[in-house]
Amino acid sequence: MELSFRTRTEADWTVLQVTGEVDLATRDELRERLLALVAEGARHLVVDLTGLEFIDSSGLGVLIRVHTVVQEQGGSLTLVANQERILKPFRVTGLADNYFTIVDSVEAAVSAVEAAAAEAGEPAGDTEAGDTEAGDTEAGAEPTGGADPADRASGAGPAGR
Amino acid sequence: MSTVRLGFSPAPAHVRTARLVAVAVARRAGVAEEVLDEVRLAVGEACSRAVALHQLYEVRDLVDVEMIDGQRFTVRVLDRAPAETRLTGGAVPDPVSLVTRGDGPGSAESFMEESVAVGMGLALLTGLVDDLTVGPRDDGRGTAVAMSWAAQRG
Repeated sequence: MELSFRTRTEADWTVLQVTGEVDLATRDELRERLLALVAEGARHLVVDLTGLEFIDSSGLGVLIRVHTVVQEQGGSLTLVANQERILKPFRVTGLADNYFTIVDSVEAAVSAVEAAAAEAGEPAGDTEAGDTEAGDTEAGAEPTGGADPADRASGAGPAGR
Repeated sequence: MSTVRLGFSPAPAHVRTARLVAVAVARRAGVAEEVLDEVRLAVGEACSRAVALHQLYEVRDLVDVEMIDGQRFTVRVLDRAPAETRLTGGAVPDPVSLVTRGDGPGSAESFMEESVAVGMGLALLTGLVDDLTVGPRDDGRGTAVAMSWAAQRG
């Protein structure tokens, strides 16, 4: 069974909605899709698992790997899940409490991303600011927020653009 | 008591089939609806582990799954790989420590993902299944992972 994906990018965050079952047979698809988004410049990733039917340790491994990658680039990974069967593997392994940020709606995830960005002194992904270039996720194109320029320099410019 | 047996080539795509069959047999055996997700996850983890080991050691034998509807609903996942100690060698490490202790940077990412997934798989099996036993197969070649759940008779 293949996975299917829908991507939505706005301002500084990208939502990837995943449907299907993530296991040993499909984890490569998920990893490639997520790493491609990161390579394309997605900085704050929201992975929407609300339409997922199943996830096992293979999927956890992929999400942990991608989380590591985005963190190294100064970004974030937020998971959206609201079904017990999807939350269970995260809970049993302790990842829900101690590792991932998991919220129950995409709206909550975006709020969390924007709040974190505001706290860091970065411009939040506020699409009402007039300049709504929806497809443009180039983090480096933002005005510098003034907080920790070294961090921004290492995190903002995805290589290969 | 009745038994359903399934044998599959050690390919990841067949793990889903094993999960589906296990859940169908478990439901028929009277395992509570709210426990079926645990059965699905645990059987999937045990089968994924077997497939990964067969692939690692290039063993082409089938992975066998036995589902026994008895006093309890019992699933045995049987591989033909050389015995490995990750499941039998004592305590399972805290899974979160696997990902937070920082074993290596990006260049080791794929290895990191693999070892983390294996650790998570073990944590899931031990965390989900109260009655889990792992030992050599009866003929000594390969490992048997046995799990059981209460089956309520209606």
